[in-house]
Amino acid sequence: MAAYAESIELTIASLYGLIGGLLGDLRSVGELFASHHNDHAAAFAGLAGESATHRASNALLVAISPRLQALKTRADALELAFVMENQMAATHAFALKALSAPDAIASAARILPVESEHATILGLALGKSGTDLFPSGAFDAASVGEIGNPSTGLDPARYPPG
Amino acid sequence: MTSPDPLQGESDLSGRRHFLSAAAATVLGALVLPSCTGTSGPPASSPGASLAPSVPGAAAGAPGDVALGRTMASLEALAIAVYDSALNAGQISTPALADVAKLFTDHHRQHLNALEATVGAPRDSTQPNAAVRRAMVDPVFSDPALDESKMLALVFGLENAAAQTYVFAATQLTRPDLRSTLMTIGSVEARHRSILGTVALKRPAPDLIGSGFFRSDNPLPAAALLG
Repeated sequence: MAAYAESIELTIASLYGLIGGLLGDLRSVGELFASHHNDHAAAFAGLAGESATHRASNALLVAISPRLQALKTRADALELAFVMENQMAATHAFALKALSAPDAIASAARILPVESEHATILGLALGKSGTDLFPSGAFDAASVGEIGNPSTGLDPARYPPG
Repeated sequence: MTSPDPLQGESDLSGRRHFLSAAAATVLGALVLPSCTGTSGPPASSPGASLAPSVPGAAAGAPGDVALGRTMASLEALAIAVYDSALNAGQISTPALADVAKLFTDHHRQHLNALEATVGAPRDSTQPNAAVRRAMVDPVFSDPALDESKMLALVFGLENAAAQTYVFAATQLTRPDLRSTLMTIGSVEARHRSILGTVALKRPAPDLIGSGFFRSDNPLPAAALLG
């Protein structure tokens, strides 16, 4: 799971680089969030040890690609990042059901709320308010599925590392 | 119809109101404002850490788990009491912010009921956390110059402390399912924090989320952790 987490963190970090040109005055925020994701990837790489790939998930990049190509506006880019950040948070909540090593638990627990905050700040920038800022309601999601649904995480079986 | 003040009852709040200065309240309020993210850097790594599903050996009823669940429930009850009181007294009166406060109150009620079910407590039986109330809430409510901005700083501080306490709890719990459940709540408290920080306190993202890692140390007074 740590190798998986490393790979999806690297994927979303690279996403911010790809959409940076559309973010306008929020480009620096995107760069900040990307730096967080790179930090998260480094933490998970340390936990994964020899299993770490130090690469973004190719399967996830392939799945994101058509969505990237369809981006036309700043709002499109923010919406994609908003969905992805929500999915990252849900993935870490899902992982917490399986992790047993204290360091891995601490990493996921310390990273999860940061990614939820990323999502929320992006949602605010999109003009979302109220319940729209909470795609899963009063409890963040802890299940996984396909890309594109902000109410589920990213399924490791669909988007393996490497 | 006047709603009862949920912070009254066992409180000595009204009697102390005139003893506390605005300056004191400001200082105490400032104690709770530092960012949850930050200073302690990334977690220590553990190469080759086991990622297999763990056996819930300490499973249901482990004393530490129950105590943490009760503590978190008491923080939820305190948040509900503070938001209800602020809304009823018109201390959060800007319409958009009042709507936010109502939504957050609803979330906290759902969290409280989920936690009470988890620890086996009767629904709505949990009292607001007394130690946190004394440390953070009473000084602000006792401020004769209490206004919306001070109330918003208080609820930001409460959400901030709650979010960090959930992270702390996640590192202490023995049951993986409970750990995940608590963090699906804690991350919503972090969302609350970021909304209040951005919309109400006008803090920019780099100030609000300066680090990629939430702190995991216990931010509460020792007496706030229930046995």
